Amino acid sequence: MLNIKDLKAEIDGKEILKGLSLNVNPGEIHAIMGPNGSGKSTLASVLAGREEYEVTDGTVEFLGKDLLDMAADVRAKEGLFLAFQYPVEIPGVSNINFLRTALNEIREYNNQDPIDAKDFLEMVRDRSKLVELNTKLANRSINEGFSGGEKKRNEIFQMAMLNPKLGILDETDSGLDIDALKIVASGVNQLRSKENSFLVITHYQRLLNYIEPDFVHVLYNGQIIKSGDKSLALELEEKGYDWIIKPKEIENS
Amino acid sequence: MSEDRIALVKGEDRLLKILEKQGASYSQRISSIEAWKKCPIPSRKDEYWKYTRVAPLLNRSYDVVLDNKPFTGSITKDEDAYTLIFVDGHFAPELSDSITEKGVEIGNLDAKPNLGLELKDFTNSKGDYFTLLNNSFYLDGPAIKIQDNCELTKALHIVHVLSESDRLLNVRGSIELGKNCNAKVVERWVSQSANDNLINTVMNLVVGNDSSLEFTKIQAIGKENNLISQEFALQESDSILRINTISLEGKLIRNNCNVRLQGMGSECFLNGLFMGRDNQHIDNHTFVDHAVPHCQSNELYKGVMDDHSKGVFNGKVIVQRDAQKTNAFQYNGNILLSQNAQIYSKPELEIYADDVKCSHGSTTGQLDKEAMFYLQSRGISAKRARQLMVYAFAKEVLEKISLPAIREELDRYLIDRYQIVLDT
Amino acid sequence: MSKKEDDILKEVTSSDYKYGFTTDVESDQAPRGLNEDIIRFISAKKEEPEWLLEWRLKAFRHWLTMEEPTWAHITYPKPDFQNIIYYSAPKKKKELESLDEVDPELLKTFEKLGISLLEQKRLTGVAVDVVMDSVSVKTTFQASLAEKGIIFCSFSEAVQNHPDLIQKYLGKVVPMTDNFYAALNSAVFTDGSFCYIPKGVRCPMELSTYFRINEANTGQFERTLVIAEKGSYVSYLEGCTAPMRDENQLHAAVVELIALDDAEIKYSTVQNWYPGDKTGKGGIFNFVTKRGLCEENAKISWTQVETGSAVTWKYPSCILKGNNSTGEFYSIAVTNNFQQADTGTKMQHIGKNTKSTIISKGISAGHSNNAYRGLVNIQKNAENARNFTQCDSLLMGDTCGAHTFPYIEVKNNTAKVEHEATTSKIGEDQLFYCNQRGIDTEKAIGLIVNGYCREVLSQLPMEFAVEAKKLLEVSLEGSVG
Repeated sequence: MLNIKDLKAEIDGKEILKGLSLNVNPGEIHAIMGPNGSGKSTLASVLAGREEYEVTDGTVEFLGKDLLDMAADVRAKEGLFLAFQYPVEIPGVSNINFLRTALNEIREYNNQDPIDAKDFLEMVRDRSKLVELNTKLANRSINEGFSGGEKKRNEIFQMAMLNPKLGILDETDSGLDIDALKIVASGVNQLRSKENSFLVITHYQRLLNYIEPDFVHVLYNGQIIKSGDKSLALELEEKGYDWIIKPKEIENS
Repeated sequence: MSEDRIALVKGEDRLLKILEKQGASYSQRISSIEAWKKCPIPSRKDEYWKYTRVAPLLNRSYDVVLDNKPFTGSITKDEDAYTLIFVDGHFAPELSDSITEKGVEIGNLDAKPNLGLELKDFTNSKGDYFTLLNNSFYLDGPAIKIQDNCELTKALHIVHVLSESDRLLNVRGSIELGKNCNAKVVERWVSQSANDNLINTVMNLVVGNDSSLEFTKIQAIGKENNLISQEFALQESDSILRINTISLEGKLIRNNCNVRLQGMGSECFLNGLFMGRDNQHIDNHTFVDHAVPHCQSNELYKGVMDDHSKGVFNGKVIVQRDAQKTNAFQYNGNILLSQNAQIYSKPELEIYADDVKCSHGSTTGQLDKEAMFYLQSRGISAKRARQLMVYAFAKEVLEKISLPAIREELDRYLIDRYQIVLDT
Repeated sequence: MSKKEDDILKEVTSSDYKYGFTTDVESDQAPRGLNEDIIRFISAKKEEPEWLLEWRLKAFRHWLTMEEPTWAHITYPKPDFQNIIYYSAPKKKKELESLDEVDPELLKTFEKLGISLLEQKRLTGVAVDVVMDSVSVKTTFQASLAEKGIIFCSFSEAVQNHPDLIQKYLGKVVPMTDNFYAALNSAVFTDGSFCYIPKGVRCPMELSTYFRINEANTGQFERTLVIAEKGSYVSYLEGCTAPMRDENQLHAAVVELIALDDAEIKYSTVQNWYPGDKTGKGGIFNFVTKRGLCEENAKISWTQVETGSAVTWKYPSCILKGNNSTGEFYSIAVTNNFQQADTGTKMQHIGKNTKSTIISKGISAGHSNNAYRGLVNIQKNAENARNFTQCDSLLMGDTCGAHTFPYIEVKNNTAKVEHEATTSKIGEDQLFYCNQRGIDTEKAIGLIVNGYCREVLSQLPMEFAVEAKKLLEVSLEGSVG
């Protein structure tokens, strides 16, 4: 599904990703962990096509196509979804109007007819239950006046509506209390299937208690320096990052 | 019309003969006089003078005097500051401190004309009546020049003493800071039973790269004097300029504060407090020209108008085409204390760049009734509550002044003026 | 700004005016130029009473002594007032009895405008008066309105059939000497709409007027008068279009609203006069005087969506004379290419407890200039007056200008006046967020702009709001900041 090879990217001339490789198959959940400044959010931004980041080397294939060649909206239309770490507020634009526009744009891209208004509302009702999001929020402006938890749940709700093939969760757990975390995780788990995959970027292991990853990768200094199964996350929780990072640093020097 | 106008300056011909001896600058004076004579007296049809009538000040004649009688009064000086004293517009060296600081040159324009700066070309000043008048007849004023990497270690107080009446004082001053300099200057007025003077000041300010200048004007010019006060300021890269304009007493006060941010990363703070009573008229015009990217301007003007007084705030911000990443904030708050007081507020934005954050706000009203009620419910009389609230409202501006002595002095003034008893 | 946005910006300048067709209708014209004879000609054509001719002539004589105002933030070539045709009417073959007899070419025009006189509005229950080149063509629903005593007809008809009302109210809110363009209009106006709502009547449908300039070299000078008697209510809509022509055409209208005690008038405008081409050639000069008078407890609400005209000079205002009266102004002004707009409102607070609200949303793109100019005047006796003003500007691209010139005058200390203004551009992060959800940049801008304008759009009657939203998108097609 997603095949990243030796990806290098920089922002304002500063290299952040320094040759990152990763392969994600359909149905898999990969967790990316790492200390602050290791490049986790940069990876999410580069994959989603944020223009401030410049890819200097490497390739990214998404469902057999060159992802890096696509505009941000085309990536979304192809089925890539980014749950933002800091969801943006757009005053005056209602969530519902926004989602309908997005959904119909994606449908049009896939040569489908626009969704019927009644079906759409049905779908909103249905999917908002996934993350226990009050449907009243759907009529409010995008993320405006939402609490931190509501914003994050709204991201997962949008993901449920747009039904992507690859969902990237960028520190979705940050700023969530345990109850909200459980709700978000259960939403993600319900969306899980054999066809779609997730890339879960996180700082802490606790989210992984609720979203069980197939693979865990440690990102450090722009590269994946260790991969393993979910037990690696537990080990990190217990021992921190130093036991992996230190030998690496010695190796580098 | 021009016949009447010549009458503004008594004995103009005689005066010009004396000034002719100055040499080089005389020809500039003459061309200014020509332009001034052609310039119509500002009327309320001019947008720039929409709310302020100056014709009564200009349809009469004044003395312009070249020399002073020796001054006999006494002036209290701030021990922690340098003081320059001007009496009726003329420098009084015998009363002033002599200042010797490395890289600092301080004096008066009459004695050190080389310190004077050429008037900068601002759209707001082009052809402006009072600027032309000042160009035509200025005689003296403070001149400060600080060389790169030097600073004034103490605040400089420029004290203008008014001892005569019916005079036209055209004061011209300049403050020029090189690179990486620092200075705090206070301009203030003392009126010793002087009446019906028209004071017309023009200050040129230049703030060099990485320099910081604070210029505080305390305008208590006496109840029967009139003041037109203008600054033309240029800011170079990463410089900071603060102009605090505190208007407390005068018959008519008009401030035109013009700032051009022409070096990237420069920032200005224009703060004003104007408090009117009786029939006072206080007009504050600010003009901030964002000429280059990455600059910030901040304006805070507060007016408290009582009795029959009239207050005006007109703040104009221009963001030029290339001045991206500009931040410009402007706030004007006014309180009307009496039924007959009036306020005119005109915060303007003129923006030609898209990546900017600009905002202005203006509020006018009475004191917050809820807060008043709260104070009264705690046993404070309505009158006291009102005084406390005004004090609190005005204090926000005073807190912007960095000189503690001045801040405290103004604080005391406020307490006095509104007879506030504060527990300490 | 990214490369892609640059491309889109370029596209903006190539988006075309979609209402720029002309209609082949035979018309009846006055000779070019302006003098007392022309005014007599117009008055005679309209078979007006003597007093009205005198009124016009008085206005004309006063106009000759006036100068064009120069204070607005606009620059334009001064119109040559002697090179304008002041009267141009679609030639009538005979009196029309029903819509079926309206010239089919005209009907086609209206179809293109999106106003189907025949069905659409009948179904939606909107009564329509259409003014083409200054002359009212047809008013629908006259009969059913008449049952409630509502008069809704062309101004000319009103002069013939209700001269007492016209004589009583004409020029009462906008005196003939008010300003240069109002005086000109008073001298030469040719038609317009008239509306009268009797005491206590709530007008059951939206009343609507469509204005269109069709002939070349003509000026349009229509006059609208709306009178809401005590306790009545009316919602009035106004739309305008004009064909594409290379020369500038002048539109100088006057609208007077009178809301007597406890009455409410809601006046909505979608102004889409031809804005000129992408180089700034041609387009309508729109110099309009709109003003309403509120008596006790009355309310006047102006809503405008201004996307057209090369130059707009327009300040729909409220005179809040009666105690407890309310004035509102909701405005969206879009300028693109070389358009210039200087628009806003005046709220004159005279009565006690008067309230006003001003919400202004300016959007500038291309090389345009967009200015808000507004006055809030709290007069001496306006105890407890309240005003809230918010004016926001959105800039798209770095070659346009957005300006705010509010005038706040407070002469009563019990007043509370608040003014806020902000300037912004569409955030890159907002666009990226939309992109990430599969919405392309163009659509994203449409969404964000409509969101930005929401508070004003929500004031429009449903049907008009849809049209206005479309118009916003068309006007800004491709713009990005």
